[in-house]
Amino acid sequence: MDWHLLGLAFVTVFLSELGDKSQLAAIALGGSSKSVRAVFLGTAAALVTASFLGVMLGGASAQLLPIRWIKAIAAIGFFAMAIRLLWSSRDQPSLSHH
Amino acid sequence: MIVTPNITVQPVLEPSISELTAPDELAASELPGSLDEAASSNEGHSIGGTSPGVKAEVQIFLSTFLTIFLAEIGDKTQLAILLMSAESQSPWLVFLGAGLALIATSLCGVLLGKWLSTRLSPKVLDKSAGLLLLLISALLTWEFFQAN
Repeated sequence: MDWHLLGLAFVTVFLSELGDKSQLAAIALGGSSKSVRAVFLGTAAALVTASFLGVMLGGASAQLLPIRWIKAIAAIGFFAMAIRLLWSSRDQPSLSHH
Repeated sequence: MIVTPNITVQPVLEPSISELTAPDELAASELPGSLDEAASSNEGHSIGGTSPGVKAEVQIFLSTFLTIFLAEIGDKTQLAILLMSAESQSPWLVFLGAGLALIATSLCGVLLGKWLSTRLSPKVLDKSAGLLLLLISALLTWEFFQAN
């Protein structure tokens, strides 16, 4: 096993993800949600699946996927979660109910 | 005769913002190791009744998964992984390293959020988390208008 390559991939991706929007989302959701475990599993699974898809599709992913519109949907999703957090009071547990 | 107990003076911590603003709310929030509680409640999986509930947890998982998955597609990290694996002799080893890194960064993020939630009052926490999510939404909107 090529530990050098493994370590290189790890460090590269770790550094590029630090402070990235997905990590910011993990901070925001992990702090405000009822279940830290569910947020962690959701975040990690999403990131791994997205990169798996990238590796599988290779360079064609930009052509195959309507990335622009996927971004738009994600923006709406985060906007909805933000509004829910900003408008709900604490007695209705945020993000976990309705 | 009353002997004053041997007072070992605890190091006086500077009062944090949360202690000043909302001591009750802070005490009420699930301070130590809700991760452990959740894990143990899952192990004995017939015991119900701990706060989040399986259904709510699945909901949190799915909403987190979907939004982050969509946000991360076509992101610079994904492109970096793609390039590295395409160039290397063993793409799956690259994917393994990248996957471990992604798991590590999300764990760091979630734990940082959890730690912050013990320092801030729930109200401040919800507001700042909401603003952070708004920022992410704005970043994604910006990417939408950048990409052509």
